[in-house]
Amino acid sequence: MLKIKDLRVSVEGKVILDGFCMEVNPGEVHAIMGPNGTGKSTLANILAGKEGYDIESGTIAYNGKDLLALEPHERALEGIFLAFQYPVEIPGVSNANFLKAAINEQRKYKGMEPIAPNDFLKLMREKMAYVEMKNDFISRSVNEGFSGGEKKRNEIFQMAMLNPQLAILDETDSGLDIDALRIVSEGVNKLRSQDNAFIVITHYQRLLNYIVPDFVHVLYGGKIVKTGGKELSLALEEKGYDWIKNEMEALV
Amino acid sequence: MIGLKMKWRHWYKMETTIEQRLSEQFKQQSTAWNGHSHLPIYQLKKRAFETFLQKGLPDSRDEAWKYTYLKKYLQEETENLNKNTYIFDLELFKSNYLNKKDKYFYWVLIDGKLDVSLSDCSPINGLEFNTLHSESAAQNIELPENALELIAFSLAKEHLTLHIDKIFDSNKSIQIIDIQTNKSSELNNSFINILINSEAICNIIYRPITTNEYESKLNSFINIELKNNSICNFTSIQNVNNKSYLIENKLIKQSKGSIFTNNQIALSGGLLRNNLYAVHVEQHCETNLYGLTCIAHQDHVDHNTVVDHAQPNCVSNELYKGIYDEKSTGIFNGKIIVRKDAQKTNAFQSSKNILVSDEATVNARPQLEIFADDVKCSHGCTSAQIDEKELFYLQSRGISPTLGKSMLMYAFAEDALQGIKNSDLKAEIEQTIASKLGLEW
Repeated sequence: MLKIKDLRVSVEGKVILDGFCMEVNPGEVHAIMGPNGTGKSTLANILAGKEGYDIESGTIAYNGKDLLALEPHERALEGIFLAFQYPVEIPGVSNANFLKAAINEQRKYKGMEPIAPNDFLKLMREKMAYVEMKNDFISRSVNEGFSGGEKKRNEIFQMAMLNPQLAILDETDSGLDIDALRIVSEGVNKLRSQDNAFIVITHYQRLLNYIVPDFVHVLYGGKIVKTGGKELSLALEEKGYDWIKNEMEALV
Repeated sequence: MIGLKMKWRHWYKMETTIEQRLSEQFKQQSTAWNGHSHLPIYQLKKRAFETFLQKGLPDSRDEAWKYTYLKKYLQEETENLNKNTYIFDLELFKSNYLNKKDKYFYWVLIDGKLDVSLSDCSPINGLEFNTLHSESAAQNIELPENALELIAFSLAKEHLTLHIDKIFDSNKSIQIIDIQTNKSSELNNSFINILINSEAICNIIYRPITTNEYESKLNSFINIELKNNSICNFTSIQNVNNKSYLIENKLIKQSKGSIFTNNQIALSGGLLRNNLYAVHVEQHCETNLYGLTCIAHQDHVDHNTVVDHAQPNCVSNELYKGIYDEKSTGIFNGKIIVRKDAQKTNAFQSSKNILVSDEATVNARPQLEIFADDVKCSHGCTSAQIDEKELFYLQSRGISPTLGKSMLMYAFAEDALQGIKNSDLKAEIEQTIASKLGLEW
């Protein structure tokens, strides 16, 4: 589904990712871990199409298409979804209008008619239950005045509404208390299927107790330096990132 | 033959000043006063016109008219004067504009005259209306100061006066529709006088309309007096064709504890010039001025507001927002005067604009004149851009940049509508703005 080859990315002359490779297939959950400043969020932003990154070399193929040639909204329409680390507030746009617009853009892309108001409301109610959203959420402005936990829940809620093929969760666990973490993780787990895949970016093993990954990658110095199963995240939790750093330095 | 006609038009333009044309209009109209011209109201109208002639029309030497060359608009002649095909479709008008009798009391002015059959002239609890011919017509009226108010007052064929009392049921709004059906290139004038008694509450909507395709020029003067502890929420909706010009003059006098809110909604028109002057004649008044402009083409909108804090302990809030597309131009001149005795004044003003196209322009000029020392005042203007982070967020959910920008502009406009309390009206305006921005919701 997703093939990243030898990606080299810089921001204002500073190389962030270098020699980054990764392959994701349907039904898989990949966790990407690593210390601060190793390019985890850069990877998420590049997949979503955010501007400001200089892609020096490498390719990203998504379902055989050149992902880097697509505009951000085209990537979303093709089934990519980024759950933001810091979701923005959009005062004046209600959650309902926002999602209706997003769903209708998706339907238009697929050659379908706009969603009927009743169906939309039903869908919204159903998915709101996934992440235990309150009813007044529908008419509130997108993320405006939301607590950190509510914003993250809203990201998962949007994901449930749009039903993406490849979802990237950028530190969705940061700033969440135990209850919110459980709600968010359960939301993600309900969406897991044989047809979709997840890339879960996190600092902590904690989230991976709830969302059990098939692969754990350690990102360091701009590339994946270690790949393993769930046990790798446990080892990291125990030994810390210094273990990886030391190992890497020993290689040099 | 054609050559001759052109020559004549040329001569006409050169030789006849606007003042002369207005004088001619005044002369014609005053012949209709036969036998009544001694009445105080006609004497007052005559004096108003004479005062106007002494003053003359404002021009670019006047600060408030720097960006709107009024004479150019008034001088312009209507092109299709000779087309006689238009028939005012009364039934269509009724079904389009007078279709919510349960929510509104309607007052309809057709070409400056009150249409009694279309208006709610049967007795209404707490509301009394008078026309030019009423005996009390000259009551409560002082000669206005500015040229356009003087013109409107002297040349208006009708003086619609509404007295609103405490017992009036404010659940129903008052809607004044001012429709121009004639095909004259002359200036049409309206005078509306609203007197709100102590503790009365009312919602008033003023809707000037020009019939499609036809250009017309309307100069209206709305005089509003609020007595002690009364509340008035006023909305003007300007949505006329690009060949029509609207000049709206509002004069508001507030007595003790009164609250006045104005919503100036400018959606379309070749020229939309709005003069608003609100003065506190007693203490503890509140004035809220909201404005939303959403225009395109070569439309020109010029908002001129003055809040005159002449008394202590009063509050004013002003928020004007604008979205300018294509070659449209906008002006915001907002003045706050805090007089020497007006201690403990709170006055806030903000003007925010988005230029959608590179060819659109906005001139915003806030002015503070403060003569008291114990006051809180703030003002600010911004020329906003679409927030790239917000746009990316929308895009990341599959929303195209075009739709995303429209959604963000709609959101930008939204809080300038916060003063509109009538939900039916608000929904109508929101719908119009959404469709202007290409949104289907």
